[in-house]
Amino acid sequence: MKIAAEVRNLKYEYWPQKMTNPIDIDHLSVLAGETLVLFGPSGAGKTTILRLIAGLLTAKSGSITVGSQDVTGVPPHLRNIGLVFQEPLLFPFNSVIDNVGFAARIRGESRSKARRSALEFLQLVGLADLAQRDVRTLSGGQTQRVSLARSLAARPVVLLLDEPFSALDLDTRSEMQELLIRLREHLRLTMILVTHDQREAAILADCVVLISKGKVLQKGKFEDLYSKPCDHNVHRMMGGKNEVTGFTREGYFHSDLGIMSVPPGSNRDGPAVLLVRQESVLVASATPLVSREGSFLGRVVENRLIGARAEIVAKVHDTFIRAEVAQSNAPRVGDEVLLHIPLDSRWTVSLASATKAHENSNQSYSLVGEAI
Amino acid sequence: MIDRKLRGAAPAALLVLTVAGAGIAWTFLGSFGLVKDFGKPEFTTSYYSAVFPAALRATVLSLSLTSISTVIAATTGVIAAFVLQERFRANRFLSAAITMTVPVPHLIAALAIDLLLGDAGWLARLFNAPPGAWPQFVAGRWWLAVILEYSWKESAFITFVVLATLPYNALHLQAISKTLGASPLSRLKKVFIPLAAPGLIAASGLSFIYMVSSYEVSWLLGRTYPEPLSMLAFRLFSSTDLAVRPQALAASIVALIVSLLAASMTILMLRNRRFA
Amino acid sequence: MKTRLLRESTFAPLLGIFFLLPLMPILLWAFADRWTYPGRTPQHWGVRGISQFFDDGGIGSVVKSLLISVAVAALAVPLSSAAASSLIHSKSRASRLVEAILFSPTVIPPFVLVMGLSPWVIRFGIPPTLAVVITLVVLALPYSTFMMRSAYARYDPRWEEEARLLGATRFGAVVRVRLPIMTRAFIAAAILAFLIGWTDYIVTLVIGGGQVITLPLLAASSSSAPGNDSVLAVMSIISIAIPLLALALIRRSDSTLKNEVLSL
Repeated sequence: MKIAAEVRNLKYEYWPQKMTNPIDIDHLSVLAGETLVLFGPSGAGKTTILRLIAGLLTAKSGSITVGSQDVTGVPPHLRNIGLVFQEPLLFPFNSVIDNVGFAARIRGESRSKARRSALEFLQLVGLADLAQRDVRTLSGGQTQRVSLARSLAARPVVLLLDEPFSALDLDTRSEMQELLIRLREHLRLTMILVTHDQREAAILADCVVLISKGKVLQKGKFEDLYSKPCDHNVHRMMGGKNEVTGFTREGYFHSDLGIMSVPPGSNRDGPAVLLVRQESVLVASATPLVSREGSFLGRVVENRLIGARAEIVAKVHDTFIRAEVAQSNAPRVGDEVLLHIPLDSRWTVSLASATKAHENSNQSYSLVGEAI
Repeated sequence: MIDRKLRGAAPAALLVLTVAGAGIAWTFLGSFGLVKDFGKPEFTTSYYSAVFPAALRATVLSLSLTSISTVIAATTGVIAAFVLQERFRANRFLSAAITMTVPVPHLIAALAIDLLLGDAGWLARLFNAPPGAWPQFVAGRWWLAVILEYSWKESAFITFVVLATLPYNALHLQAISKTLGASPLSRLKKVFIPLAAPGLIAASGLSFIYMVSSYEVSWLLGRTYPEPLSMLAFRLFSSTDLAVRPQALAASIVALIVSLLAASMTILMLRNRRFA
Repeated sequence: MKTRLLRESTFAPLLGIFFLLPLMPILLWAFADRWTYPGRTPQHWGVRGISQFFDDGGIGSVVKSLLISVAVAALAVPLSSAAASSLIHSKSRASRLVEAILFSPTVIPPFVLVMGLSPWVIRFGIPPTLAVVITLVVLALPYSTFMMRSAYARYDPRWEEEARLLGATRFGAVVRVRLPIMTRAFIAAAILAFLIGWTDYIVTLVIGGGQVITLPLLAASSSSAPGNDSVLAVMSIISIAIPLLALALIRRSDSTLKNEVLSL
């Protein structure tokens, strides 16, 4: 598979000096036809990385390759990339079809030829009947579609998208995600998409790169970041809420929760943190016949509705475990429950990395516990 | 009938109405002999016919000078605005230069151009021009010094207005055009100028009218013959023969008509465009 | 990008030189005691031009210019502010008419206006300086109203309503709330009006009846006599320097002005 775009040793500092971490990316690449998602919290630098790839910002050092061309130092209009911004911003002095045909006109094509090919792209996004409209009369979703068509009509090697749907309501957002998937197949698009919406990342990504404070934290498939985070920060950014300190020895993890085996691939011996997704924790009412490995008793101290499900917090000795359960048979506060963490939901990381990450982050460790 | 809210605008509007009304009324009526400084008022078009041939020549000259200068000023102004829209460090020199040009009175600017481009001017000396060989910018056949002075001062004004009236998302739209393949020149032509158009047109219109009305520049840097409209009117007005004064008023009304035509054209050109 | 920065950053200095070039000989002449052709720089430097400036009544003309310009600004700003704030909220046909009236001075060549005004000034015996100021205010109103209007378009009148609810009088609300928020716009409009007064020649000449001698008028009369290049250069520098000084002082006191439109 060909590499469509690649970034190496990219460094960038903000000017004027802001309170943000500089960008420092070792290596990023996206294969032809693939969708790379840059995922992470606001302010992590994802938009900056996209702008560096597009050429709207100049990197301090590093190299950027698009297609087979080294585009480091090349102005944006010669890079063969397209960029769909979060704020679509259509040219107010052009109609819809002239917006889409802009790139063609720049290339020197005649107005009628540009409009003809623009119409094709408008058909692809389902807006062919709006061709003559004034852009100020379009809805948010329509504007974003036209913006998409406009960037696609420039026939870029790689299409960059910066949180393109975050300003849209949920329904429109799903529609646009499906549109993107269809377009991707039809045009064999290579895309780099920035988002802070986990669902969007899961739906669209072939490969996810988690960015925080200007650096890459982890790369891989979405499921891997989800269930095998390389550290405590990644786990939190993916929404995981359970972190249990203890230590591993010879393939077993010892902690307040008892002794349990950990899957291969987890950390080596030493102080460790167990990272568990709250959706994977199984909850049942306490019975005396317990003693399965990975099971332990706890007392429910909090029960909170989150949409159709409930999140309970159970106290196990000095540790708190969060679990997500169906609303209907959720245990009540004060109940004693039996919790079980299946083997493949256990993932440990070494404590050193967790402590360092913990020192660097501002979040407090166990929020509910402190309150009580 | 009158909106209560408009009360705040009343003082200003009344002042303008009174002053401008009084001034124009006198000029207009006086050009037809209906009011006079001395002597009996009597309707006549003789002043117009007396001043007509000179006024025609003067109008042609004024319009040519002004049109050429406006084109140059608009071009330079819009390019300067294009360069200045982003805060690069290199732009600070240009922005300072333009800021220094704006408060210069036209009279002083004309003096400056004279010192620069005159026969004994600085450029002539820098180029070691032998006496008589330096092209006649000042008081020359082509009124070059006048055109240069107008272009110089008005391009600063136009840059200022364009930057002030550019839509807030102009830079963003241009960034988008870069990702669509637009080189800087294409960006200027196809994105910046359409965005700058309302401010550009308005500023150019204002400059045009200002140049038609301007007296001191033509006086210092131009020739006595042919003379532009403003000089014709002023010469007649300051003449020791007071009977000739109404001719000055007639020439002024011609100038007013030219101005109004220019203003109408500007408004027409602005009709379908919106300021941000 | 490096290449783009390079291209635009070579353009900018070139344009800058174009804008500054005419001012160069003025700088040289101001300090030239003797500069005959074809010398490239003055043969003798000195301050004769400066002393001649004082002898010719230069200071008086500067004071006069300042007085008139400040008066124009002081009158134009409140007038245009009141006008702009009421216009922005009114969409009636009457308001379009009022707008047209306020902007009409831009299409009236000043010499047309003053030729018709000076008989009135003489007939009513209006003091020349006052007449000059009022005429200049009328000429400045379109520009300051325009500036104020774009500022008011971005102003939320609910700030003042809130102040009234908290006990301020109508005037008190304007002073305590509108003034601080609109300061930048007021300053911009004031500067524009000041410049219109400062740079004017024809109005002062005709309406002033030869009695009001501002800096441009002094310069004009000096320019008709030969050999005055040096003193003219001094006058020119002062003409340019004083507004620039005012601009610089204002920018210094309000650092946020740096990002405002006025500071380019």
